Amino acid sequence: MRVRTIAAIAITAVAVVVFATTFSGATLYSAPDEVTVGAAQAILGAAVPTRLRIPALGVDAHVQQVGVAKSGNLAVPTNFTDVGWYRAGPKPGEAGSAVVDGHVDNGLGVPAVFKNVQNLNPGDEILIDNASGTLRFVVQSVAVYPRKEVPLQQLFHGDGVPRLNLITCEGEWLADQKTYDHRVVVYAVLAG
Amino acid sequence: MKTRIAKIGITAALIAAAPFAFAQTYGSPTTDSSGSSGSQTSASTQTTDPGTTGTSASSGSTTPGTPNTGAGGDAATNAVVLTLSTLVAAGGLAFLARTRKVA
Repeated sequence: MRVRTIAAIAITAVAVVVFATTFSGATLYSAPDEVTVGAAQAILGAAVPTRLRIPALGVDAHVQQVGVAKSGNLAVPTNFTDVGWYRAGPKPGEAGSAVVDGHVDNGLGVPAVFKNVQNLNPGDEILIDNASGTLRFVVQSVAVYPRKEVPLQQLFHGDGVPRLNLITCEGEWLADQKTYDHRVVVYAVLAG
Repeated sequence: MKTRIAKIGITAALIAAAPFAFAQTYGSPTTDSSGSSGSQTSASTQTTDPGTTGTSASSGSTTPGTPNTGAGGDAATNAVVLTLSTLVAAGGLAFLARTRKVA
């Protein structure tokens, strides 16, 4: 009897651990594996974005600061409700393209913050809040690319008019690589 | 007796750990060396500066690759793992409750 009891306790404990691990992994990203490049530390200042709002989609998200992951890819927010601003690039409102990424869904298939950004239309507004106020961007275009064909130089363009580019996943799931096969990019320009 | 305990322990561990075989690891973008990573114009430096992407190799600038911003493709697998682990835990707790009641 004692042996069975011990076995039952062990099995139950392991099952609980498996459940907790899987559930947390599916619903929360842990801290990204970022490498120390460029502006590795959190940036402070009046122009640093704090919230991103997309009225047309009902999005109102906290803005995290993200860098580059060990894979070389743009790092992602640590959860499915926030968005990530690429802190080594321009701040929103500065010359060049500020880049913000966000998840499309989580590990349980629940829609995430950027689930519907592909539905944005030219003219829709994207608002960025910072300590100085609110910047208003207007969508110029929405593009879908195969994930290896995203025009990175255009996405991360560092010069020119102040732009805001949003990026998220789209398309079919590639099980072996654990990612989607397309990316959606929303190109917006500062309107005021 | 010790052998029996060991056998039961091993069996229990195998059964309970089975879902781990399907469990997914999250937390960082997928490491992909096949091309989705950003271009790097100089391996000797790690300066990330998308504003100078496309400059000569001597500039040492890099641009990050596209982010991995989804995990929904694993939803079915995760659902199975969660269901199995819930059933195992519930069964274990029921057994323990019954054992305690009898005792």
